[in-house]
Amino acid sequence: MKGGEHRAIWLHAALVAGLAGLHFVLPDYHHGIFARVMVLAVFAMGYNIAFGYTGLLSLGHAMFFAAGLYGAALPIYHLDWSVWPSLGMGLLAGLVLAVIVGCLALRTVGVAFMIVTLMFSQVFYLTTLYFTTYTRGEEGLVLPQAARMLALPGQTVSLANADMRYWVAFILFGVTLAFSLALVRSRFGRSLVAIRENEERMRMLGYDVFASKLAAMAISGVVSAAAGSAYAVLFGYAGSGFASIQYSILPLLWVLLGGAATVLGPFIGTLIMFYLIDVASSYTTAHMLVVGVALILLILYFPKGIVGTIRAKWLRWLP
Amino acid sequence: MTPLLETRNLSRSFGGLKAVDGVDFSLQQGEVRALIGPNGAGKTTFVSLICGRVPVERGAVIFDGREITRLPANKRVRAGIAYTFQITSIFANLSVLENVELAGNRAGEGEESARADLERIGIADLAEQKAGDLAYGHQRLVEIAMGLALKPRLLILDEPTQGLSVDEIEAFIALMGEIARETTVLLIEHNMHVVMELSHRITVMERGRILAEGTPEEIRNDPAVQRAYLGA
Repeated sequence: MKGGEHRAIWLHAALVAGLAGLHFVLPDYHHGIFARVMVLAVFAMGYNIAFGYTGLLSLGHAMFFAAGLYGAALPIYHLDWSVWPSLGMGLLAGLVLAVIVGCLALRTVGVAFMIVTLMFSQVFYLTTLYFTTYTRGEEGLVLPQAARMLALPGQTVSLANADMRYWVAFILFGVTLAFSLALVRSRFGRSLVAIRENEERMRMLGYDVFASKLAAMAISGVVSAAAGSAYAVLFGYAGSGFASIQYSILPLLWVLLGGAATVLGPFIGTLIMFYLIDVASSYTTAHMLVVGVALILLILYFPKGIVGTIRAKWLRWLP
Repeated sequence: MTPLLETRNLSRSFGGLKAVDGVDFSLQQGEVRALIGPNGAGKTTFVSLICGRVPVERGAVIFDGREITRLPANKRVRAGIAYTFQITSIFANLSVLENVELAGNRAGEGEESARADLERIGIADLAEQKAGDLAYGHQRLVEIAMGLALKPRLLILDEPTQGLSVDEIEAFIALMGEIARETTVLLIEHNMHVVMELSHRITVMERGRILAEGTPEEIRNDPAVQRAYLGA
């Protein structure tokens, strides 16, 4: 066990170091994709806390991502807020929404939970369209470069700069990865997995199952919102599309592809899916068909996802 | 002396069936009580009402002088009522030690305490094994170790010897004799040998009601019990 824990930490540190190194060697185009993938992988990691570890199959996580996105973008656009407080507002919006939705949706389980989260997310999506005056709906808000200046000690940097964008995405990704790793190895993380496996048993061991699941939803919502907020300030755009059902399904696919309930899976899944769509769409407009076929093959041959399969077959110590 | 556990007019029905029907029951601190009765007599429902797995319809449950009728199950566990499942309900993917740690964590206990519990049950050598790979008899013991890790004041065992071999049953009787020195035990059991060996008193249930109650000797000689249950 102890040896496995050390190896796990080294492996994750190596990935982070590798991503730092890639900054210096990647061509511009792929450099941009990696920055985007790291931000979206944070969303996937947030989703994985609810779905992978706690067993809460939410079909509404787009609302948490979008809560972060709009929580950050609206104050910047309409109130001329600076970046830091806007990011804070994005996180707060995600937290509040996750707690409210959690309190209501966690009264249900299984298919009912999927439907309830889906409905809440649709309400959120339609709300962003209803207030088109402020959100500009599908067309979205474009945040001017001048508003995307991040104040750091001693200097102010522009998030529109590609290098800076990469590093901010990298730091957010690294922090979330370390947080995920610490979470799943903590007592609380282990109790979430145990709740996923046998809720009734955990209740009879004295655990407040509802409170634990609510906490998992809140953490998952905040991490997803962090990705949304970062997306808004890094890429300068916030549109209703990010609140649509597509962005509830995508993190599910990323996590399934990479491996549910693995720490590295969300990143691997997001990266591969992103490139799959990118490559497929350069050959055909039916790129979603390619993605569909890839997913069918995945479910047939790697039902545990890429990292999940590696763990089951070779590296039992992978967290 | 106030009893550790008391129920007053405790009732619960499912549809039209009165599974537990107005049961008045009390259990003294330090007692080992066996609950027997034919299948469908309401034994499991009765203990489920006590530990909170099934909501009470009518009546009251009093534990250690405090009414807990509406308390959620997890809070009853923390108040000192531990329930071990009839169908073994351990975490198959975790090691034996991790299973027992999960039970102890809630009470603020760590690995050392879990190892001590395994030592007490006599399966310390299996600590690192995957729980799902164990033989059935050992899985039952893990279940009991998880119950003990909760540091209960009342340990409820639902058919603990079901599916055990003769040797394992003898070992179980010896183990329970030792556990009962510190913990009050309420035991649902079909094996009359176990019941007669372990219990101070026996409660016989039939159709949701208490048919008789007394020492093993009294129960053995009770004509109503003989008719209903012992088949004499």
